[in-house]
Amino acid sequence: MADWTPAAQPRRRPSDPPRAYHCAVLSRPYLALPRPHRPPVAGLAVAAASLTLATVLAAIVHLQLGVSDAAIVYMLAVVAVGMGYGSWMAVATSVASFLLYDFFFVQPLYTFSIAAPEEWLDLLLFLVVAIAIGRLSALQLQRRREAELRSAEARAMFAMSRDIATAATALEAAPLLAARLAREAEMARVWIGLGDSIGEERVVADTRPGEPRPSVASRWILHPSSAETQPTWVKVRETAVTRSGDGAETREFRLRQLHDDEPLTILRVPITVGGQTIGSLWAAREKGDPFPGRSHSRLIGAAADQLGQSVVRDRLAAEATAVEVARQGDALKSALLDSVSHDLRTPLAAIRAAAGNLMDPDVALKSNEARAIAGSIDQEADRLSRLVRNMLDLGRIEGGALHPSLELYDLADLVDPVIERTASLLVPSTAEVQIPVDLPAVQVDAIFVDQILTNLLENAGRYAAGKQIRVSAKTVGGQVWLIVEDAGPGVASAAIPHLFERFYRVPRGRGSSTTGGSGIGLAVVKGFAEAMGGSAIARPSALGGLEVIVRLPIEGHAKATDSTEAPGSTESTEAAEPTESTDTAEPADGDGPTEPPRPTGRPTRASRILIGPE
Amino acid sequence: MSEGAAVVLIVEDDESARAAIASNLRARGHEVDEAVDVRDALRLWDNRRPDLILLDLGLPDFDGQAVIRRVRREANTPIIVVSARGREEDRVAALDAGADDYLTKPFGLSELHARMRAVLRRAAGPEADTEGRLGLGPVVLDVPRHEVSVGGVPVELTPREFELLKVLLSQSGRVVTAGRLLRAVWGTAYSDEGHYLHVYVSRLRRKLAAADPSGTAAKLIVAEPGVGYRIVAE
Repeated sequence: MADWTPAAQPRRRPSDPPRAYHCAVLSRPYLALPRPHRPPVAGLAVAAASLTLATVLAAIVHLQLGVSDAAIVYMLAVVAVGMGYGSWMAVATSVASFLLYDFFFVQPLYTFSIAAPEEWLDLLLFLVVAIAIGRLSALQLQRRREAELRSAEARAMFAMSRDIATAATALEAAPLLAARLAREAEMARVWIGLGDSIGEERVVADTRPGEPRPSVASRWILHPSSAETQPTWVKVRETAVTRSGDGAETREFRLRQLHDDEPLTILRVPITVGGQTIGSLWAAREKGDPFPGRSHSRLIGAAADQLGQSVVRDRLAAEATAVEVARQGDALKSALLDSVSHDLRTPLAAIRAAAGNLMDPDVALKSNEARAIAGSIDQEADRLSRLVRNMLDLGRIEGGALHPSLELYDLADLVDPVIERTASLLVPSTAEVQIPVDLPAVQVDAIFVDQILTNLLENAGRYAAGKQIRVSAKTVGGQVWLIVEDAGPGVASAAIPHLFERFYRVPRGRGSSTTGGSGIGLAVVKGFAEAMGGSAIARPSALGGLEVIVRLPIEGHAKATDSTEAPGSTESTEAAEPTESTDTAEPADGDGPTEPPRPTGRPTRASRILIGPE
Repeated sequence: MSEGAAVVLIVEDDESARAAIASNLRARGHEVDEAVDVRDALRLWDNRRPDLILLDLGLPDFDGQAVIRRVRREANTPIIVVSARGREEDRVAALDAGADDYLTKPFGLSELHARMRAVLRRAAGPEADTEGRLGLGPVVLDVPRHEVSVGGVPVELTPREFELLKVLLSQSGRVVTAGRLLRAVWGTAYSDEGHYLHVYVSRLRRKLAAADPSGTAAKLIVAEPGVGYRIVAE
């Protein structure tokens, strides 16, 4: 019966000798009754005052009104003291009343002796009745206090349950709980650690964060209450065993007595779930403070139980989430397979047919025919290659494995090679490029932009069918917009918000179903744009077809822009961005430096200065 | 356009890719040596110094970088590196180790021939004439006099811009990585400051374009995104 956890070793340096912990156990039951709230000195003073008052009153009754037996007046004092200060004070007051009455009012006066034997009987009866009434009054006091405590306990329990219920997770509830316990159970400090053993505990809540935590080598552990038993605190003390290299053991008792040097009493309530300890609720009390009473012990025990339940709830929720994620992953995979199997098979079929044609010994091909067949193989292989690339990219986007390496580029540098490379895809259309010379540099990943533009051009080429395709760029606020639009049939406005969803295919209207893409390209565009701190939107183009706008961050604006766009937004009606006044303004520096300043770890600032006139 | 007959060493472990490229090069009149790994490649390099090496970086025995390092210790033979997409850092490392150019798999044969022509031309031609002038199309850079002209029109360049253009022109036809340019022009302390380079290149382009109404000078310096810059000679 002890806090014996072999793994419970505090973090130590590797050079430290191995330590094992032994426990010395002292048992101490909870204190039977809550201690009186008010100090006994006050009780004595009140008793003395009541007795004096009663004596004066009795004298008045006796001398002025001629009532012979004024002892009854002292009952008032006994009841008052009993109700205010408990049983022992009531008994003491009764005895004092007995003596005072004897001294002042019984013949012979002003002595404690009694002349008449019948007076003896009266006085003894008075004493018995006084003690009985005093005890009854005291009981009343005790009941009232217990009722108050229970009500406070119930209130605290309720508040604690509410803390747990309203917090989203156990980690969120822990600080609330710690604060409430510190207040309600009158603890100097409360902290909560989660971990399989004391040494591995991670503190998730502390009412005095930042302050060093006291040593817990010597502590009291709560043995929780059950239906039959009350909560019990058990003293545990760790001793370190030092093993030297030759295996000999030296035991070193840590002499930390509860009432010695430690200024605090350390209390620990293990948090258990299904018999397994998952953490501890720690509390520290000042040495002067009384030991936690039954009510506070119950409160602390209940807090640990509730926290345990909350952790279990979190675990179940996490498991449910994992199951859901796995399920969605499966759904994604099957959708991916459905979507791409057709797109993968089509070029493969074309390639095999063409190759078979070339290999066929019975077919006499003229050289230009053979070249045309080889050309179709090349074209289909290229299509396959783009599809595979997009699929792999979508996998990286879905898996959160995108790590853009953002650098400054002239957008034209990135656009020109793509235009050149995709020219054959766009036939019979050609892409017309309009990029202003003074466009600010964009801070992007070159490979992402390459893929974005390739996908957009491939898409536009698929639908433009010989009509105009335009690639343009402009500065809007703190961003550069890269715009690809076509003069094709366009997309129904109802479909526009779904364009960037993976595997979404435009229902009809825009081309026939045979020209439809795999529903991956635009999803990759959006994923890449967002990974760079930009965004992608679609809307009808002035040319008649579809316009896709990819907003790219300008140097220094990357951070500011990535939060402005809610994920998944595809506003089709948006006319223009609010223009920020934070555009790259140059300091009027006269002749800018010809030397770059030495790198200082802030290259973005440094290079901005450089853009000034030379 | 033909790149002339050359001895080409193909280092590639994939049988069908190697065979396809080799047969194409032979059909175009080149002599071809084929190697499947680094050991093989170095043996063939020792046997018959080829005019050009086509090197796949992912080889079964060692990293293809070993071939670059060895060849560069002994000769200035053009090396074109072939790498898969997504291995950008390998590519930059290979270029910094001395490779001339790179191709990303999968690539078309026409692209391969264009790259081969460019690097073979660089290897064959003198880097500067007897008076220390580097010329390319309308652009002439006079090293001793620190002068640049486009189509006879002088262009005012700052010392840094002049150095930048000189390094690029002297390496015409090969990709110069951003790190190498920064080290050559600004010094080793700046090798990670790609931002400077971008600013200077765009300024240099603007000045060249302003002096050349024909528009060819503006397209002289081509960015290789994520890698560096090259001078396009054709």
